[in-house]
Amino acid sequence: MTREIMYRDALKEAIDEEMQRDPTVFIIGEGIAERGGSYKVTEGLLAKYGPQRVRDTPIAEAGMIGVGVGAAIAGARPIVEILYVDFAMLGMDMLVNQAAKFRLMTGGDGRVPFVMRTQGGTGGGVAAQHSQSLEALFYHIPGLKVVMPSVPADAKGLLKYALRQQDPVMFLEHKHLYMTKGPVPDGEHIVEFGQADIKRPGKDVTIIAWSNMIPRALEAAAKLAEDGIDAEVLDPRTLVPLDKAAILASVAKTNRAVIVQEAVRRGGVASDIASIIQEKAFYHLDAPVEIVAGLNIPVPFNLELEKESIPQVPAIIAAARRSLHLEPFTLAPTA
Amino acid sequence: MTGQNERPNVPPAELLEKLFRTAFKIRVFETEGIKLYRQGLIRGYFHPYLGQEGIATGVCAALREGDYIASTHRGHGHCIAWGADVKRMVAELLQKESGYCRGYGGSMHIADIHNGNLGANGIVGAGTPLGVGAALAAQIKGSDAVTVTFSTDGASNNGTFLESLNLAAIWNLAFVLVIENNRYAVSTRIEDSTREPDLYKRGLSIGVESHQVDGNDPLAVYELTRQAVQKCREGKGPILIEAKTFRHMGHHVNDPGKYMPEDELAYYKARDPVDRARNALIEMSGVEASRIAEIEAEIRKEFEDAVEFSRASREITMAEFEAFAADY
Amino acid sequence: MARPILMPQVGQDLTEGKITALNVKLGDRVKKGDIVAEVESEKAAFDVEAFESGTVIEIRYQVGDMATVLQPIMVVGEPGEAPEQAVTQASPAASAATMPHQDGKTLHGPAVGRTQAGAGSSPLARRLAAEAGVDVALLKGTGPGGAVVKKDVDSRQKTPLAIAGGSPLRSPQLGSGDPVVFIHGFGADLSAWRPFIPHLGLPNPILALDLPGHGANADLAAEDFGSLAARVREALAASGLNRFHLAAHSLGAAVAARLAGDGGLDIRSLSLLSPAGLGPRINGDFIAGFLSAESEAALRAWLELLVHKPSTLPGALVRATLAAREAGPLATAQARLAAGVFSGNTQLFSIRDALDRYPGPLRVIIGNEDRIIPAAYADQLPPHAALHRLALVGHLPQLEATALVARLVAETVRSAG
Repeated sequence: MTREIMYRDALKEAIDEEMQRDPTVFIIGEGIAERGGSYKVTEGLLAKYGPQRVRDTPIAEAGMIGVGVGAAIAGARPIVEILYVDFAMLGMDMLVNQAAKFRLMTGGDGRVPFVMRTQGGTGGGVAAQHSQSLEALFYHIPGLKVVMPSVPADAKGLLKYALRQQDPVMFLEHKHLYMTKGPVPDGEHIVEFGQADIKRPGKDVTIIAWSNMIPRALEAAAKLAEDGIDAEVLDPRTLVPLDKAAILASVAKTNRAVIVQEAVRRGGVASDIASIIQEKAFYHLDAPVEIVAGLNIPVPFNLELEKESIPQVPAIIAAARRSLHLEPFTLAPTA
Repeated sequence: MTGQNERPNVPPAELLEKLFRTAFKIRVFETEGIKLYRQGLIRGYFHPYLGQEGIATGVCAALREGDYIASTHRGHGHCIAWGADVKRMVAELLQKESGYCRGYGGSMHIADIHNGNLGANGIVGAGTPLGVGAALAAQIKGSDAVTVTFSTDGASNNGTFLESLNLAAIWNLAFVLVIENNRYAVSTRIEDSTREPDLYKRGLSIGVESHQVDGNDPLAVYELTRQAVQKCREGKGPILIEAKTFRHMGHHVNDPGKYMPEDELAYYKARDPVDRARNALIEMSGVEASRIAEIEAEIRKEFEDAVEFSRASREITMAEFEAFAADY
Repeated sequence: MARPILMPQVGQDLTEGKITALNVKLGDRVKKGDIVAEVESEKAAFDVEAFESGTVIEIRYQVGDMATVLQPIMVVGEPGEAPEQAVTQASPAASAATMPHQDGKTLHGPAVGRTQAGAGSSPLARRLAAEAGVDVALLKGTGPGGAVVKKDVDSRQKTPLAIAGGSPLRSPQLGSGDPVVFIHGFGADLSAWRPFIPHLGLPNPILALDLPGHGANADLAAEDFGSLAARVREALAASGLNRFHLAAHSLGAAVAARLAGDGGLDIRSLSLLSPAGLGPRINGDFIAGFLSAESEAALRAWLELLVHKPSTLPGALVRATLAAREAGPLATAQARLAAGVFSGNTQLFSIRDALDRYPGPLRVIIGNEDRIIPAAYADQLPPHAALHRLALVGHLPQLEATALVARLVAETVRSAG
């Protein structure tokens, strides 16, 4: 049986259930205790678990991430909520040089069961310092897991799984998704890392997307279906670990891939996935791998420009059609 | 045997011997370790703790099992004072599988997480938030463990110094921050790094009980730390201790330290913490010179054995490495 | 045992340092801990301490020399010991630095059809084409900019032009009994047999095929003689034939001989006209000239080398050859095939072993005036072969002695029963 609940409530259920299960789970962040968090994910947890385990912090991201990492090393299970992924940049040393390195540098003895929850993406005119999609920064760092749920069920199942892992997890939510609803299974619901989900099966072209690009990919697939094109929408759900096998299997089936990311194109995860596809499925490709990504610019404030700077449904449709040789494109490299 | 009663109001002989043993063991480790480095047996970076032995020695003597320490890039002394196995330390420096980190970490990253050593750290200042985190974990678990972070004058200008000490303060954590003020951040004099070289005052400004101590006096460091730890266990933490000290050589093994004025160096060498620990043991507990020689020989032998052990140890195999790496 | 005292490591990146003092001389006793030398880096001076006790048996530098880091400055050992035995202490770090990575197996991708300049092709199309033995460079592409995509390979495979396709063999004549399969030579196609077949007078079904790179199979690739034979074998298998007679000319005769010698097929008889593969020489000028001729006059000049009497060469043959060449990629395909089976004046394959192994009736017909392949090579035939040397005939006996050659082929077929 399932219930239709919001993404943010699915996250809260995950935290609540895991705090209930494991007394070393605690959560710190700005305005998360009494106020319940900017997106109400932690509402009610202070009353239920008390001020020891649900703590507000000063505005000190480097300190709170570092303290979270230290607590994890010492055997607790912190969730550090960072209001915007943009602000996590203040704590990059602690994530990159400490959390990600500790296990290897201790020869495997030291583990860092640390979860940083934060959110990114454009959000209707909040400008360049509150709109970024920065998963590629974390994806690039060996030792960090990167999770990007697109629907409530995945949000809950992946967060619960994250809180049982021994490695630092970058749990990246999307500000547009908190109020979206979807079915979530009753009872214990866990989604393991590294398991892609086919959000829509199809045979003609594989569209790979994550987070807030999943709703758009599905919309594009529905429109493509009107023209008799049967697109498969694949959601990796976790970028690290990445379910390469599922991606390659889908591409082997459809012989074409369109990768959609909200993040800027340059140096993005989509590029890496494209490189994996060309390396491992080259002789299954009947068209170039298409990437639909954000422009290589900071996100503008102006709403029309903001929209222009990130992938929209028509761009996804056009890319899929190009890969099916239904739209013109040039074979020659362009400058 | 001479009874303690004949020497009223002096520290117990066991403590004095422990302080001397620790300080001397660090001295031998660093001195002999540098020779291993010169012979190419140790590669990479090596930051000797020579001259600063009094601080780790005094602080760790005031801690107990179950407590935590977090260390710096100059971390050998802290490990030894914490009771680390010299064999496994040398093996780590020689990148052997029997090392504390199986050869994955090296000089700057020795950690022993199962025994409360959160590890040395290659990023100056990083130990402070990590130590506060361990103290937070202890508080959440209802433990009375105390965490000590060894930090440096250089690190006190880093943002996380304020951020994490402030978190420790608002949450009353059982956390002791020990600033080893050796006056030089690599080669930059403290007067060029800050207007206020008395670093304990920084703690006062955010409501943290703060003290200053002669870091070259192991006994004084011990006594101040003992009181600080006691207060922390009573819920009155955190506490900051600034320990004034000086390096006997440059920042690392290949830094001749020419920027350190000779008279300054001479002043501190005349107040050598190892000598002071030895003299305190001789003067306060009346130990014979022959006994001192026995202790020293024993410690030198321990190091030599550690080198033999390490040289005989194997390195991680490529198969082991691949299995380990596969999880990334 | 002699042990070295090393030039110390005095900096992260320094590879050498200067010897500023040597405190010992040859024959001195040193004990562990003695300072035996002083060295200097850019930054500072360092003492060199003996890590071993013993007698100094070699000093490798003088004061003022630059010494390489972690190489011996001197060697200590027993008096009289040879210093050569001293090896540099292998430091763990040094050994790690040179530790080889995983076995560096060189990986080669699958050989795929090369594309002609321009249109390109998708990786998938190239793989599918390679698997099907189709040369993607010769396919017409319907993808972007004329690129060959999967669809184009699929439709090529569905069109029964290929030897490997649905009806690989053209059937000029129906009949009864074991079929006789005709294979043409280099540069021709199956239509070359049309004037000849009526002279056979056999009841058997007569079949013919186009070699890869020829006729309707212009876009099928064969890189060398082995793959040429393999393609023909596949075509015969695909058409369900396993018991038949073979009659073939020149390069086609060599293919027929290879099939016959390799076994697996029940080849009732073998009639070879001017077979290639009996010796090394071939007229390379003919091959090159034939391939490069662009006018009727030029082509005719080369084709006349095929016959003893130029007047026997039909003008229609010259014009048809030229027309077929203009219509498609024949010349390209044949040039590539030629490059795989011939090299200048040399034939890159031999059928002598194959003929030795063939147990059935074997008849070989050659023209004594052959200007393409030396007639003398017929001397190399195995003793079970029946050999007919035709006077005043060139490389095309089926053209210059049609009736006789047809009779001999028919007799061969009948002799097999």
